[in-house]
Amino acid sequence: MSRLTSANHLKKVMSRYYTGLRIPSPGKRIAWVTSGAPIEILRAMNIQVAYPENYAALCAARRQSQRLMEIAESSGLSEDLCSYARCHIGSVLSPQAAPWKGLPRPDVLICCNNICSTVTLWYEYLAEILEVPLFFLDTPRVDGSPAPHQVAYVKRQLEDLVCFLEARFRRRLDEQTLAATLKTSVKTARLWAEIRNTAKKRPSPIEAPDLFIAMAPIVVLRGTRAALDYYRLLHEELLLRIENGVGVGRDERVRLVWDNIAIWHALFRVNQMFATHGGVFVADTYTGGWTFELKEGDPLESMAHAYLSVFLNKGFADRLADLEKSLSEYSAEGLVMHANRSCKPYSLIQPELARQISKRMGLPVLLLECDMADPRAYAEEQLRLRIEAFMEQVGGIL
Amino acid sequence: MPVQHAEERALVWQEPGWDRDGNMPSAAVFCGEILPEMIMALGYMPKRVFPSVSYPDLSPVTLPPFSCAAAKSHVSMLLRGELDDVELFVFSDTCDTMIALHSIFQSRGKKTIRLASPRSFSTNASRHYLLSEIQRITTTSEMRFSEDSFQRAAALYARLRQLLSALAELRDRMPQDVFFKINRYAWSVHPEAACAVLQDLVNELSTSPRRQAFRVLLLGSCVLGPGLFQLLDRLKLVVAGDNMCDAQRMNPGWPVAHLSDVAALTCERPPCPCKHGGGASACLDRLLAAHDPDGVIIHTQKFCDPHSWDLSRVKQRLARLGVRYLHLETSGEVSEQHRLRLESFCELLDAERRY
Repeated sequence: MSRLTSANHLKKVMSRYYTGLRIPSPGKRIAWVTSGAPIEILRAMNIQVAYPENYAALCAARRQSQRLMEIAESSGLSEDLCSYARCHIGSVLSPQAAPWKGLPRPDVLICCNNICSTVTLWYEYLAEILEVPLFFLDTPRVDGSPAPHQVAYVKRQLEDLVCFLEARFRRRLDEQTLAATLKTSVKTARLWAEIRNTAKKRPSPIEAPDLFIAMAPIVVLRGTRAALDYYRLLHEELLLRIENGVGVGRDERVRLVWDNIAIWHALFRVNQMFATHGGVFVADTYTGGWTFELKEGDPLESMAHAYLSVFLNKGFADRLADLEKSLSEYSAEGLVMHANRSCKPYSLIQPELARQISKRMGLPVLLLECDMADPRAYAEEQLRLRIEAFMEQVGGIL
Repeated sequence: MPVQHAEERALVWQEPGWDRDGNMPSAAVFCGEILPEMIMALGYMPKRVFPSVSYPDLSPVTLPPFSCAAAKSHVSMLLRGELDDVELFVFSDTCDTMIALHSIFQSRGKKTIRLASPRSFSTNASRHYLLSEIQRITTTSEMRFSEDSFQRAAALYARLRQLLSALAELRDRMPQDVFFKINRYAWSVHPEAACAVLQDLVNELSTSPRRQAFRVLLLGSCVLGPGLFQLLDRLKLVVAGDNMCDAQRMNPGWPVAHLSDVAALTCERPPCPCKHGGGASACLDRLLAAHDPDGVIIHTQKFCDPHSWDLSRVKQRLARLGVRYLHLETSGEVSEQHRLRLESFCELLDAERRY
């Protein structure tokens, strides 16, 4: 696989972010937030944000998640619960066992349930053991477009969030700073969408594992200059690759789409099993979750609309339409679904989505049961056999 | 004997019975968060679908293996054609599994209603939103909702709730599995039919003696089959109270009169662990104070996330209060291992009583 040169810059950006979180400074405030939380408000109030989900993914990628999960399980948590939650809670219960001794202690917790129901219970658990105030932002499930009463409900809660933070930290939200942060967020999200779109070209200049690595800033640094600059660099590099007809550095025989979160502890190993047979993941459904747009008008109302419309908060018909669109726009010849034991909203409807995709598009679909951060749910030989059978079906094995 | 009579009648619900009830087509209600008054006022006969240990399990073609037993049971019923006569399927956004079930039924071409309920009932905004959401369903679902029909349905269910509350007070005078069956029966037939059975039963039990046994609270996920209750009977454990969504959580005991009461009652019921800030600890304390049990049995279903999260909190609370508890996790029905654990628990309670 040919390495992206902008990856060096990404490493610096992320390392600066994690180091920055740890450096003490007067008046510094830290919020732990879910990946779908409206961080623009926090950024505009100069509150640092840390992401337990991102941290758990990092632990898994460094193969350090299992020990942390075992610590959480020994405290009474079921091994069937989300592995991000178990991994992160393990790092809270035993920071000495965790990379960088865990995330720096938060002043507040901000939980938005637009990605799953688990975060609601995970953050309540954190609030109890850490004795830290929790703000819960409830985003009801949406079919198609959010209904006016849903937007009004979330907008009202965003107003409450502002009041909660202002009272807690004795600082005001400056409307101009919020507007500027939102502008940067939208610019970054658009650029991220363009980056993902470059993979529509043949050969594709980027593949899903690169996107999984490159997505970190759009999640944790959304609304900052650092994220925008990094994506500009990456975008330029990809355009150059397209201009020179450079792909991901190997034969692109079968174009595939990946559905669900990455298997972080075996990201490149799993990818290699497909690559061996000419498979390239030109798109995935997960990294597309951060390509949002904001409507013109009242910023909080626009944010309410955007944060309600996160893809995991949408209904079956929307998920199916998004998948069909990806498969067709990226000229994919097969769909691989990671049946992720840890992520029920993503995984429970996959067999039904697979049935519909096969019926409507006639495309082969592979379901791989595994887990995003728990290596104990990974059976390599079993995966290899299933992948080989699938690649034979899609024409990767001649 | 009314107990036997009631038991016989209660067994009927286990057979698929989804024919029209008079002029009313059937609506299958999958979550206790939806009040049946609302569905009846829309012109449907609401029947709560309870998960059961049923075979063949056809769910693997539609659900991943790490789905809870309740979801597998519902999907198997759908695929076996047992719900073919149902005209409306009603869901609520409680847990991720319930949301997935709605998607599956919708994808299979079924007519569905989904209450996009809030995850928190603790703020004014969420209560206001819930009422708006209920009003959305009554005005946009192309059905014939009217305040009059709601009033009539509310009166029928008010009587049912009253009788179920009376029965709950008498549950230590009857076999445990009968209480379980009667509860399910009551929410699966027309309330008038259920009230007739319940009234007989309440009359008879009022004069029956209490059974001498250890009194326990049963907490957690709903139980799929009667096996656990039969086991409790054999071991002389009486369930004095519960917080389960197929029993007492369904019925807080007070009636509703207007649509706005539906929202209020939904918010005030014993909390589902899916909800944020639902006051689960306060509810547990109330149950303990009301029943003063010898111990607590916590049941969870494998792969049920909300109850698994709740488990550690409940255990901690009970340990702090010095209440004996036993956790049983099942994938549907109880096994030999569960029997052994329950026997040990009984021995422990017995030893504590004697010494």
